[in-house]
Amino acid sequence: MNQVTVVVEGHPISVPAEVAGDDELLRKALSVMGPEYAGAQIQRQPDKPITVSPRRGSKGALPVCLAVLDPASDEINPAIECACWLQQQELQQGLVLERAGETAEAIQVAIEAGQQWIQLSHRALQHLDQSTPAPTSLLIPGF
Amino acid sequence: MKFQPIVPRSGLDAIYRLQSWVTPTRRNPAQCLEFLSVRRIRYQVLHSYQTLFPSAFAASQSNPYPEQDDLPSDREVEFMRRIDQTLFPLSWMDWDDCYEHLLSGPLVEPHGIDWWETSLDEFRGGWQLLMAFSESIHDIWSGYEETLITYLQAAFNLSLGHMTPFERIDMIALQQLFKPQPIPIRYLPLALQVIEHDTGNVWLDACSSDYEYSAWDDQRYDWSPQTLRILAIDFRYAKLLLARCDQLADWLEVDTKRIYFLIDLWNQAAKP
Repeated sequence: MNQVTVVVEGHPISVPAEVAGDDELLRKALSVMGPEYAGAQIQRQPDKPITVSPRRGSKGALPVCLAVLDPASDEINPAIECACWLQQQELQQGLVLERAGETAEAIQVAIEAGQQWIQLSHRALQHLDQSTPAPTSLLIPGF
Repeated sequence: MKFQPIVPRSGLDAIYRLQSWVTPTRRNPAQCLEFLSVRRIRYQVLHSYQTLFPSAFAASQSNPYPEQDDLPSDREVEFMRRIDQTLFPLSWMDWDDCYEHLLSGPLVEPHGIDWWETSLDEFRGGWQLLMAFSESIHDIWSGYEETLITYLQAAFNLSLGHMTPFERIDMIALQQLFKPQPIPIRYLPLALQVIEHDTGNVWLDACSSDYEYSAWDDQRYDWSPQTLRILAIDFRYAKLLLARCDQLADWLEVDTKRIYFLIDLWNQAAKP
């Protein structure tokens, strides 16, 4: 039986010529490797091996998520920032007695903001855990 | 923020900084919050010392750095002693778990008439007689064969059966009746508030029952200068109020039959 080389995601594999010659048969044959091959794209160019690109399913409302996530600023919990700042200050200057009041106030503000930050993070995670998966036709890069 | 390094001023200063250096950088928010909570108290205590006793703080030779991170520094202990001696009592100063108390903030302990843990006959005679006017004390005795009134009658050889019951007393009228009376008679409504823990003063209203079932935290305050000032003023005021009530108790002890005069006024405040 004649064999034809088919390149699947960059990897050459040998396929019987009669299977390779028919898109549907090829998809059916490759689908044993995974469901993403059931709708794979097949490219046939003269003097080049047949290339197969799987079409993967998609998860979540990606564009909506990205639209929210992309402009969001990178944040560090204020308690972590303040702890690092204080550690550095104490390392270099020891206890700064003259500014003890200001330091206590700054710490208090950081504690409150840090606790609020933790609550908000927990709430966001809870929302993600409880949200219903929404199908989309778009592809997630890297999958 | 960049810091201008300062050469350590003492061995403990250097050790304190090195401890900070060898402690792994905190990445976990919970760890950072714990670290900051302890540090906040340390800075707040030092700030309050500077604010409330500026000259003593400036002249102090005691070390502001603790020998270990989980112990109070000599400077902190010095401040606690000053509070204890001049502002209000910190009875836990010499306890083994003193540092845990320091971290939890000043504790307001009962300084009023704490009948929760004390039996009636442990109070001085004048106060026992004043308790005849307290609804709470009557309630406590209500479950026993001997009532408060029968106890007081037997103990002081009195006849108190003509007292109008509490539910028939108009407390506003009672206050108005006692207001124009001479000192110390006019202090009866105040003495009742003290007995009932209803003065609005934290030191007098604190009761040992508040400290049961891990409710100690409700009696905790912070070390800020503002809070310490308020607690100190309240403590002074509490002593003044107690002294007034003691005057009334003294007056009753001179002649226990004087209670009849108080009962006459009490009965006049009966609701129509």
